[in-house]
Amino acid sequence: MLFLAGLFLVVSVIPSKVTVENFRLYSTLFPNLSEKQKFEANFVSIYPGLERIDVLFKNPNLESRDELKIKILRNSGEIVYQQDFSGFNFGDTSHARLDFPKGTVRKGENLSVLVELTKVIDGKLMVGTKNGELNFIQYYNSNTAGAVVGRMVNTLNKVVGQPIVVLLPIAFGVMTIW
Amino acid sequence: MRKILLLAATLYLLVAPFTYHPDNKLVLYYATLGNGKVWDIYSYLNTNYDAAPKFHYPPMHYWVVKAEYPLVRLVGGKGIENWLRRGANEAFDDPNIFIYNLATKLPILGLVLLTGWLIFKICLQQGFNNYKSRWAAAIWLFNPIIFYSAIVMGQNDMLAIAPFMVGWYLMSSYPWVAFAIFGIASGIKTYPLIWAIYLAFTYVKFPIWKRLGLVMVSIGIYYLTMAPFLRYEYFRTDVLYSGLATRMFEAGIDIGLGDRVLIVPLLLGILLLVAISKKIGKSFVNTAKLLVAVNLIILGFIHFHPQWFIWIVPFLSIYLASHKKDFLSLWLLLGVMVGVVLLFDDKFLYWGLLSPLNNGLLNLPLIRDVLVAKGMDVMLLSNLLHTLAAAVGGYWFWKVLSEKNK
Repeated sequence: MLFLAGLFLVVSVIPSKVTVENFRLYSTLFPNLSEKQKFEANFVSIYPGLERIDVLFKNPNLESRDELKIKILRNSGEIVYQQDFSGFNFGDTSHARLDFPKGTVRKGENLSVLVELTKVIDGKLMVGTKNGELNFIQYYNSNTAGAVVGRMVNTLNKVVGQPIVVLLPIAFGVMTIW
Repeated sequence: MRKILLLAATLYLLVAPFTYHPDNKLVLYYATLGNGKVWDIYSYLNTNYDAAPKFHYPPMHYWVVKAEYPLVRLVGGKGIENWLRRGANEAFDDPNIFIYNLATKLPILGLVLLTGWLIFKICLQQGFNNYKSRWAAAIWLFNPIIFYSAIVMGQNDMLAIAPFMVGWYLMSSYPWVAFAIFGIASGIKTYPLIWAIYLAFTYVKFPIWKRLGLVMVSIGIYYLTMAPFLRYEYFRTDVLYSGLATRMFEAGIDIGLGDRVLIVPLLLGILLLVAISKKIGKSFVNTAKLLVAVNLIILGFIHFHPQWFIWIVPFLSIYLASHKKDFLSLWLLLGVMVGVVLLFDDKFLYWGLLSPLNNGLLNLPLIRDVLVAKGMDVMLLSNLLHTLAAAVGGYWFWKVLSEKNK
């Protein structure tokens, strides 16, 4: 049991980021950004420490030079963060990465990601969508004590739901010592 | 021996449910295709759309996986079938992940324990005392390579290694049966066929023509397991000409006009001729040494996957039980394996293994990318590790060559 507790603790404290992606299991489609000019998706920051958002794009044959702006907005319309990009920044399927300062967003805030085409150069740039919505990934800092405890609790809950994974080694351990 | 096996089982059961690798899940997913009624996986995958990659192992491998699936389903429960369909990058996030990991690895754990017991019995049969035989089994059972490849990753190499060891156990009393079993093991994964060829040609109880007969038995059964599929182009492409099967023929020396001398077959050929002329088969320990050298020559000169080091361990365990000074080779191989794992372009070889306990680990960068960002030449590092593996292979090659004539 000590071994398992140690394993759970050590793995839980390894610094990492938690990702959240809406409609993760849906297939990805790539409409042309120039078709709609604007793509938007709403989300709620379900953990504290949102510090990065990746938005999916596709630049076929790396040809497009279209220019765009990505904004993270609060419900009130207040801009949390914005950044300009062009086709130069994207590969044939790659992410636009937006890193914003820690503490900008609190847990439970209603936010939206808005992609706006600002200058059509060739109209070839495509944007990733899933289930008809803009596809993006949220990255939360999970190196806080609360996040580590959360991971431990999550693991223990799973173990409680599947007690055989602990009972079996205990039974074999007892037989070994017997 | 019972206590050693129980202790090993305890350790395995402590680690296996909490570690995850998608390969193990993927192979079992194939067994569920077509509501479990598919027997020709190659035809199925080439005539139906499926996002899964093609099946690159021989047909016997597929049938064995199908045979183990009822046990996996019994332990994993109803939900495991849906879980097997989930993508590699998110399946570790399942609430029942621990029981699913345990279920998919349970047959492998059983085969690791069986192989440990067989190593013990083979050593006793070949004249080792009880202590040395237990020592050989313990080296196998508690080896970090076994832990990594079989227990943590759940690699399917055990499906071939265990039957091979059954054959080896039977070899002294029933050689023809043993070589038939070697043929079956080769039908699961091809490399036991190479071991069988060496065991046949060094089987000193038989004259050379009978040894050829032993080889033919193994090759014949290996061929029979694949014969129904050989006429299909997709089978030849997916299995016979796949990258896995042809790697042995890649390293070569150009001799002009487009011709090449292939290094691995060259060294294996030398080993075979030396083993026959020196009657290596007269000594059980030397036979184990020969098989270590054979495996190291292959791994030393191909682009290997780190988990393949498991192939060496059954024979190395037997050899090390009586030659402790050669433990250095094991440590060197472990170093190479760890280094190659950390430099591999695949997060599932390290971060991903612990993803059931911390889902965010897969968001960490590849270690090779971090090293590149710090200005290190990762290719050079990787090449140095491959060279070290080749050096260890060369050392064992020399050990066989320098063996005195029996």
